[in-house]
Amino acid sequence: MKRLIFSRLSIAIPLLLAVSFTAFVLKDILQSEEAGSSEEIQNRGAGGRHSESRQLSNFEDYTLPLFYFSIRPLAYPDTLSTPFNKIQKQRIKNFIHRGIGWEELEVYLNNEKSFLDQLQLKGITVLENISMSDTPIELRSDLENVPDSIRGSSEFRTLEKSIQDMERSVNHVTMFIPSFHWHGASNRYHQWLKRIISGDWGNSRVDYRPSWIKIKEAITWTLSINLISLILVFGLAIVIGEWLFLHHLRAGGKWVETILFFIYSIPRFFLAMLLIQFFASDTIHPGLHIFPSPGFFDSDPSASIVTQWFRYGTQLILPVISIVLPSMAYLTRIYANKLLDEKSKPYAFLAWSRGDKPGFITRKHLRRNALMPLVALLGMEIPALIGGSVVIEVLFNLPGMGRLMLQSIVMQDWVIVFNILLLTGIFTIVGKLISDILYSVLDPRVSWPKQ
Amino acid sequence: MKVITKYWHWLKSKSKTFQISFLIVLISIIIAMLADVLANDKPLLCNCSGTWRWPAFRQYAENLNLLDPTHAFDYVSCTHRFMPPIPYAASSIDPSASGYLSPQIAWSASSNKHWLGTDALGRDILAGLIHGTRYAWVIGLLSTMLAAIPGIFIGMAIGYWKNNRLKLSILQIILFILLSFVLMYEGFVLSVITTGPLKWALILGLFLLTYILGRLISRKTNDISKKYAIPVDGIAMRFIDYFESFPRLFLLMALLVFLARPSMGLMILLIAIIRWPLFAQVARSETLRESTLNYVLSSENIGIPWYKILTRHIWPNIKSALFITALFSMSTAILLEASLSFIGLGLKLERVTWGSILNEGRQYLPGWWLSIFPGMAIFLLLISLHWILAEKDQSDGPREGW
Repeated sequence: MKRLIFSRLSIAIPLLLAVSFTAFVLKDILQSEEAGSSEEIQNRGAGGRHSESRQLSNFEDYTLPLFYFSIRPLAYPDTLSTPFNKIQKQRIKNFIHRGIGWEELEVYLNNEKSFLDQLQLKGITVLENISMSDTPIELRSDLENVPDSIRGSSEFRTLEKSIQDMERSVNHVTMFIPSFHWHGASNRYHQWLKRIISGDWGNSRVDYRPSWIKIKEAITWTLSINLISLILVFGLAIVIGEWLFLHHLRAGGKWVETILFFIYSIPRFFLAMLLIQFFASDTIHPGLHIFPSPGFFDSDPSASIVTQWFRYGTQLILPVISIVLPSMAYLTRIYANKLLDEKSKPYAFLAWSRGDKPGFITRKHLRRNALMPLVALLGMEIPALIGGSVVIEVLFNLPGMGRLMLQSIVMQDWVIVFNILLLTGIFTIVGKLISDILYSVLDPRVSWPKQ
Repeated sequence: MKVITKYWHWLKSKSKTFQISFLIVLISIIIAMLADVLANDKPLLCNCSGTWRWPAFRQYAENLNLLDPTHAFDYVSCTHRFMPPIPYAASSIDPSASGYLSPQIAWSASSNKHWLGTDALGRDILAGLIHGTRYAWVIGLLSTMLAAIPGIFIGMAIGYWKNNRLKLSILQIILFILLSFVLMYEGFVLSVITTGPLKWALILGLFLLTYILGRLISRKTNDISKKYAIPVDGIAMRFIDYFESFPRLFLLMALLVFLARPSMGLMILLIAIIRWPLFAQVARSETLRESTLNYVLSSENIGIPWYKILTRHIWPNIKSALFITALFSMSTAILLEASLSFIGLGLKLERVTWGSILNEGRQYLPGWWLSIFPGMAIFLLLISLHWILAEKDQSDGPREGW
């Protein structure tokens, strides 16, 4: 038992790290792109190594590297990992891809900047597109347009000299040599993970509330709906499955099987739409309009979850039905089939020949053995339920995680989007862990040491 | 003719539910293939000032660059127009029928031909359903194929080699790790610094180099003197665990952020990336079971190489299980795309799919025809696929009662 828990944990913890890294990287790509195009950084320019370690107000510290180590071409400078102006970054990359050394390039870029500043002071605008050119040849053809009055100046001469230096420094080999850099704990992922573990999940961009509080409000709905659904699914699957097993050769059993097959094949959103059309609107018949129409749902975060359930309980009946039915049909079929498998085993035959009634045998002997695959499926069913409830939440306008995710995607609120992704990943892994351990508790054979 | 009678007899030997679902699948495939002929706003054939023209088929030639799209003729003035049965394309807007025209109203008006009503813009729902059938099949089939090929390869390989059968010497292991790192790095650098056809030629060359070097290093992999076993199964299973540790819809939603309103190809690729672990798992467990059987052990003992065992001996025995998986995966792929379109994160807006019609039904609840008809279409296709699956599953006969 201990060994099993240990081995499962040794799988789960690296998985958790991998999931957190995925959520972080996806968030980081979007945010660093925005940081790279934000005005603060564009004004900063592309000067020097680790020039400014300034924390941007709403973003991570982008002067830090992404991960604990990095592997990049020897020709790349350190500063390329930080998002300064995107266009300028691409220009520097283009220079380096043509084999120009960074030292010479840096000198040239500084010279170019001071030269352009000087031109601007004199009011000459012939060299506007020099900052678009990214080969020495293009630069030279650009410089031909410069009027003679400036050609004599010392800035112009140093500029020409630095272009010559660049041409001389061309070295195509350094691009192909990888260089390994170890950054230690001062990287964005480490800082982010530290904040996540300490409970600081960042702020929403839309209303500046802490994302953890927003997610917590949503998660209480999703979890409570899914918990009720899960209990109903398993309870109904066991009851109906055993009934189906005992009656599976009679006409009633055949009918139930067919109906279950139909329910299993209905997409959740279509079932929910049908329920809304029939029972929550006047379309079919006004007398059938039993439940309130979806879309008038406002949650009051100050009230406790219990009072909210009482207030909005009638609004939750249809969503729960449309979450429960397809999962229930699927699990019932599996459970009934497993019961049939178990029935053909010798111990069931012995009990039957002893004179025990089928119902008694099912409850006493078969149930525990046949429940095994259901417990194994529990781990699979939790992510399926959370994923499946996205559509239901959006359709019934429930303030759950799926709706929050969709709204945040529309609002481009990346902090919330990827925190939800991280959280659902954690749920899935923990759910699988629990179902594995539960499985070994129910079936001691699982934890036997391997031969 | 002989083939037709053969299949007719095969179909007649099946159960009634199988026959019905097979027919539904067949009809939906035919609808998907003939979508442009069944529902199109251009005439199939018309007489334009003396010459007969085929406007509905012209778009194929335009797509293949055989005809210049700027030289399209105006078929409105043509005579003898033979229109398709539904004279609207999926995305063609009929301004006279805009604002959610319900089927009852459409049927009572004699001039209208919107059999299943229209949406807010006046797009015909039946035309949308017919073209949606095509998208459903294309997405279902292609994403399944794209997921199945790597999934089955990986699954069979790890099921055959397990954790202890791929034995290498320490030198081979070091060379493998070093080589894979160096080639990956150089490939990345080449793809960044070169452009155009040179880039693809270099990358292709790199692939060939990888193959040749890999073959050179991996010679005689089952030699007894090789001490260290590579746990391929463990490594690949951790990868699969990683892919499975996100709820599918949430992962798809998060990835769709990066390609807002993707094209068909990207959507297919995305669904395939999400779905390949299923094939790997099924292929792995089936190969694991088969590789302990005597016919595999004996063919190993008489010295048949591993790739022949996998392709000629194990593959024929596991392909029916994988076919069932593929059918199942197809139904989930169709469902995934429909769910994404339903919550409004689907394909490009001009593409009318079943899910996008349902999405409009979600936003306008009194329009029951916007949700019932596409929902029924998805439901019918899914239940037929599931029924075919169930028939394949229960080939070992009915079970006894008490």
